[in-house]
Amino acid sequence: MFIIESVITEECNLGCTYCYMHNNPTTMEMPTFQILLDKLNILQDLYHFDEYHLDYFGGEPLLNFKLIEQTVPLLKQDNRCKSFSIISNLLELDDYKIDFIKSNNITVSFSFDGLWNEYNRPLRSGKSSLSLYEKKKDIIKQIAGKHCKTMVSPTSLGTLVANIKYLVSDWGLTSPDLTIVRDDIWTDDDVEHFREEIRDVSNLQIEYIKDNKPVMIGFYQLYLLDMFIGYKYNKRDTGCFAGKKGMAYMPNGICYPCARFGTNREYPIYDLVNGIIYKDNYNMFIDYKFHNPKFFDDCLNCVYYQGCNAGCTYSQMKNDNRPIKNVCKLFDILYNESFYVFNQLKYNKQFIGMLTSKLKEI
Amino acid sequence: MLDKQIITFNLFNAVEHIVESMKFLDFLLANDNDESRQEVYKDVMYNIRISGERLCDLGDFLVGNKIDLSNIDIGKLQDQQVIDYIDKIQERIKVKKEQQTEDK
Repeated sequence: MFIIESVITEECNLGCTYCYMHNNPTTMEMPTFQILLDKLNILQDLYHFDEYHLDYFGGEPLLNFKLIEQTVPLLKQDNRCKSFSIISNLLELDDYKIDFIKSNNITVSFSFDGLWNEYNRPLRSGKSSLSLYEKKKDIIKQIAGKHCKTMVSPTSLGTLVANIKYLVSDWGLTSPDLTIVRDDIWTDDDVEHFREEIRDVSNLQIEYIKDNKPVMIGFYQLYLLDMFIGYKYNKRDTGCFAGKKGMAYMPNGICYPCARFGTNREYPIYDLVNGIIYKDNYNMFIDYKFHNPKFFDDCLNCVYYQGCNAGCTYSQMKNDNRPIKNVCKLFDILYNESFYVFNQLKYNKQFIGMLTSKLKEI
Repeated sequence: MLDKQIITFNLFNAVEHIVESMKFLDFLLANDNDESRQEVYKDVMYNIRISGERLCDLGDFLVGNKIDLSNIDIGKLQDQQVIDYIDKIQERIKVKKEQQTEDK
């Protein structure tokens, strides 16, 4: 399904060290969002889609909650909109917002780094966001569910196991979706540290399942599913949705391949406000293959070619259209560890049942 | 049937040539302002891209990168099928790694 990242504000209450958004002081107004809906048929023609999913994206989208309130009824009336969700750190939650989110059955994707919030995700004031999370835990848990998106960067090394235990035990987040930051920030030493530490994480995953705890750390599920899907349906056409199967709609009313391109104001695709198409950029993301891992020399010879989706398109374009060497090394480690966990647990009904049910959802 | 390594080598080479040609066409597109020639470049770019895609598909087919899972209905997937196929995938990757080590 076509994905629209609607960046309703670029401002954020946090200053995450690894974040690619620039905290530009721009916020979307209702008329700009209305233009998206009014001119969606143009995008439908360009990208040949009938249905779409919309993410309220930021910055921190809850900082522009008024727009969410105004636009959710419109999305519900739009037959083309099959689902929508809010990607949020949830620190702006209050009872009023919770009521609105619950009463409208809005899906929320909770971005939370657990213990790493202490130094990776300071508040704009420079203070720790971890203590604020602790204060707001009860209110956040009302809608956070069991899932959170947790970014792993070199500063996470040394505390991977401790943080997963914190997410699972203290917050009840049994599906911590750990994801490595796929930028060129990992040194050779970092990669080796990661290699040394990840086996402890794998053993923790095994221990949880053997203790009948329904915990699935995102690393393992994602990499096993990627391989299965790659071999079943063939390699994906593109590494990610950017500019081909989705786009970002920015507060200035211009569509970009994704929010990362948008916040950098690079490769605009369509200015919906002024009706200007940037045809070269559009063609580049639709047709060209330079930034597609299917054609990267390094990928063509890789043993994981069939299932791996490589890294971030933006990062790779900045890397002369090549995958980032140390990110590939991390992928190699993670594929190996995923198979290690799989081999230890494949005859465990709970584990294999979780994998199978996830595959059926896809 | 040619040895798989020879097929892989030739396909890889062919794709590399296509990518290089696309880069050259991209250069022409960026530097030649003649509109009629631009149209020709775009046509050639389109055709050569299709050739690249087909070559990759042919590679999947000939080199046997793909494990045939076509008989599996994802909606009715059984746990044992998932185990069997992930085992096959692991085996395939292991063999490839060994081949690459030998080649070095």
